[in-house]
Amino acid sequence: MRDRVKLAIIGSGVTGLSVAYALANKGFADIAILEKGFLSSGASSRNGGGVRAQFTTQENIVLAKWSIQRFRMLGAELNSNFWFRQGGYLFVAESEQELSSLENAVQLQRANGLGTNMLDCGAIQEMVPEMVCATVIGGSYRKGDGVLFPFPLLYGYAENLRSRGVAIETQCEVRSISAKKEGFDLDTAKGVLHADMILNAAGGWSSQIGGMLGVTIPTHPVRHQIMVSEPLAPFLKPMIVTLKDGFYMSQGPRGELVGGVTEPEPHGDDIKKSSSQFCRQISSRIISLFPRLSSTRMMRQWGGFYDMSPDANPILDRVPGLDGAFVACGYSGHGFMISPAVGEFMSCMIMGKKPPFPTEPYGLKRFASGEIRREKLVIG
Amino acid sequence: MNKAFVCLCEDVTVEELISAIKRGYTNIEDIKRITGIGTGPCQGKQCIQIFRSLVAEQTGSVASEIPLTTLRPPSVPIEFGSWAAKEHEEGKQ
Repeated sequence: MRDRVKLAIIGSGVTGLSVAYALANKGFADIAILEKGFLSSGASSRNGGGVRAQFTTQENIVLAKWSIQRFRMLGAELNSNFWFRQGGYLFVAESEQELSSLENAVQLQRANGLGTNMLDCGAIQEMVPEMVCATVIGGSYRKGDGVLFPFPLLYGYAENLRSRGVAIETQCEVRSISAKKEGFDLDTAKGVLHADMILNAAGGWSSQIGGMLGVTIPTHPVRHQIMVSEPLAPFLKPMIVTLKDGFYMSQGPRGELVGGVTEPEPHGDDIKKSSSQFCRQISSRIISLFPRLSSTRMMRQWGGFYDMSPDANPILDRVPGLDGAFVACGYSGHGFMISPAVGEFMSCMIMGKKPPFPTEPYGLKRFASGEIRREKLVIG
Repeated sequence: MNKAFVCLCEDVTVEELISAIKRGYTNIEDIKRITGIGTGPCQGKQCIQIFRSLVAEQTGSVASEIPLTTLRPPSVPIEFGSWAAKEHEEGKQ
């Protein structure tokens, strides 16, 4: 491993890779990405691949809208097909309260240039003929939302970055960081690395990394589970989300169903733990909406986590009081879908330029001011 | 060129595994994610030992020292209907 770099990125998840890619595109490639496990071994290689701009805060909407445009081009740029399919996201309401919260969200989304529409029960039934709509009273739908396959994007980024001289060090845990007169010394599993600047992109571990710098990052990891079924003939075009219980399900390009649901019990943060309660809960929900799937088999269940911030919006900022230290975390389950915009945002900040987005709403200071707008559409 | 199948569920060949390893992915979890090995209906029960031996051979280590991929439920594919029936039974207790 090199012993000096301009920028050390802690974490090889989609955030670290996207920021490095945006920087390399601007001619800044003197970067080492430090990863404690294997490539993208945290939440990035465990997520369901959903990509949507239907959110309830402007903060998430603008980043997601920008990102969806980028995802459309990234596959060709990286020469890696990650199967980005824009079949839309359908949010389903089963009570008047849910319906009015969707109406408010759609209003905000339309004000921010998204073509989201409210659908009545008949339109939903037409869009998803296999779904039993007995409890459904309406929903919202945006055609440009969709699903991608995370692995080819992650490995596409990694191979592109390596070919441009960016070092990606896996099995290279950062044990401590000390701020020097100029830059930082990082004590890692592969030796000491001096970096002029550092970016904390450690996802579920970002508050621990913050701790090494003596800075409080107010996020914490929460475990979520997800499952995949055996493949079926195509029948489900949009990603379905029900607001009542945070259930979501999409059908992949090979016909498999991928889905999750909000679990009632406290989740903990051990991503290697599985629960059969989850399998029972999601199966019941699937059958209540799609009785014909009763004899479809669940093939595998797995776990990952959301790095939750207090308002479920991302934290993209300089680390206060430490010149040259940056943090990008707290996506609260939406990191993958907004990663291209986060890459652009942080690459500008790191290079001392103005990001193409307002910076204050993503800053750490917002938590002290008490004026936070909470993202309500945290699903799964 | 070795087109022999290692993973019969996901159609992963010796050649594809070697290609991933040659690209620098020597961790068994990386190779699983790149090739899809062991993620089909048998969940790796048929291929995991051959997979480990092959990784060991290519990386100059011993098969028993290559970790297993994470084991996840269900151990065999189970119908949504069976899971849901269990949920219903427990709900009644």
